[in-house]
Amino acid sequence: MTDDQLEDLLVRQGESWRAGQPAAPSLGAMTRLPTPRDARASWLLPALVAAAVLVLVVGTVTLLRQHDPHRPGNPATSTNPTASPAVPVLVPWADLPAPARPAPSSPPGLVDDGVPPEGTKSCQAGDFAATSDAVTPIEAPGAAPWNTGRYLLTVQRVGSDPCAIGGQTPTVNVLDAAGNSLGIGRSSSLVGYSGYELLSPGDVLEVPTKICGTGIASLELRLAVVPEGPGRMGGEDGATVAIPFPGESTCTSGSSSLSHQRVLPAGSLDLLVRSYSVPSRVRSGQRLDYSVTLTNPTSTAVPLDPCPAYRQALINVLKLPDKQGVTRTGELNCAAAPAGVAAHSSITFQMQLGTTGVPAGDRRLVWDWLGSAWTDARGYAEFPTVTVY
Amino acid sequence: MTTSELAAGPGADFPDLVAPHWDVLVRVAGRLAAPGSRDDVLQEALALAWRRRGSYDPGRGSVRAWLLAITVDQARSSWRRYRIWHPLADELPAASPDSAVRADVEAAIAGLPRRQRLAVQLRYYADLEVDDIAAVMRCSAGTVKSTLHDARRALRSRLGEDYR
Repeated sequence: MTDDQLEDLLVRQGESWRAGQPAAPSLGAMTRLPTPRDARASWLLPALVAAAVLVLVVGTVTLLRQHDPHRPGNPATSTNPTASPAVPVLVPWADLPAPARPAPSSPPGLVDDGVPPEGTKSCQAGDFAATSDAVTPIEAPGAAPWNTGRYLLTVQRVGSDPCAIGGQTPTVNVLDAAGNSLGIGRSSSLVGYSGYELLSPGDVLEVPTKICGTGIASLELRLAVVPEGPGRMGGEDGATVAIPFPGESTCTSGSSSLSHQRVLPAGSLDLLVRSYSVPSRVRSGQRLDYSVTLTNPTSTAVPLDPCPAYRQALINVLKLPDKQGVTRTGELNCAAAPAGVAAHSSITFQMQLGTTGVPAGDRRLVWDWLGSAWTDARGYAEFPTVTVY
Repeated sequence: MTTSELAAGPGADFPDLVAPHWDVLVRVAGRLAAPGSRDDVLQEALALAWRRRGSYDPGRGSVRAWLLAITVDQARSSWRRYRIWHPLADELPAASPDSAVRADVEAAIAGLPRRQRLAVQLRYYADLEVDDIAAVMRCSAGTVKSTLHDARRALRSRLGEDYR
């Protein structure tokens, strides 16, 4: 066979392969906004699980809240989780500027790009402890074959100061009794790639994964080091946490994702579950009237003192707000609201947002506490879609 | 859409940026991704590119090369995930049994050293130009040509001089 003949053969094989490929996915479909269904799968469910855990954590903590005599209502301060929900509170809209002071916010978890602040400790193996139920089968025995063998690897940050891991997704090494590798895999979650994850003491990392094969004795969860920095996709080195493997497993396919459960202090605004009542359509230039309901699922009141500031926006996630939407900041109408969101209660705030200059098209109505990290594209899926026409 | 607009970030229309290169990204993902992972690889590559668009440096290469590099990295990652469930799998799609020639060629390509294999797949299957392959492999165009030359010589040896 000559070089030309081989060249022809390879060209023909390539053409044949391309002709047999499935149709290319639509770029438009790939860059569409995440749907609420996506959100339930990738974001909301872990968040609800995290919230459930946090309820247990904060349930033992008593919050000393301050009473503001200028406010008309005084929320229940009961820590009795069985207390009846209070009558829903509706707070009218007031156009108040956002204060200059920073809004109370939880420490950042995922940070998309860049390196941690100077002095941030990089997590080492000794910073983590595998809990006693470190490897827990997710599916019950008898589940369909493609759903068996899924395990939840859980490690908890120990120590007294925060540390950071690289944003690269963790590697799970599967080892036999002699310590030889039987396989390797990574979760498929969007952890941050070039960014980092700041882990506070008590924070829990969960890595759902599928473990397959026989002769498995232990697992190694390898977390990337920081800083990786933009443009670096590496991260093979890092903190390695050993996890015993309790039994055999077989499976054929699957993927996994990582969730980071932050430990939030009692009374944190981030403990409030937000829901929205939003019209599905608004004419460009008209005012969008909607409401945000803050529900406190915990047994401890969440104070609105100092009065929280928020950011609202009507934007397309793949186009920048200043060109394709509108962003406004403000402060909640705390003067007309109770001093806080009582345990197992809700407060609904009426909101307004002008749409002057917003071009037609589908937008997400994004609402978040001012100062929180809201630029992660995953989080947009939680927000309602509004069609501007 | 220019590279400077991308680098500037604000105002960049991401879908318009990707559109001219979409077909080649699909081919690369289709050829290099683990079985059944093409669309996942594309989605992850797009998400990563969008998140990193602010750190794109036009001085280090074209938008096309940047997108290709991200896609190839994501395709490689898809195999890491795939291998935990299929520990013996290699980074080539299973050959279809409908063509003995195809099976022979695929097997021969599978036996090439890693960079030769990547160059062959990008050149003949993903239909990339040498300059694009060089950007993906982070080497010069001359090195790509040399790598392809070595690969063809190895393939001739594997397939046999009398193979047609």
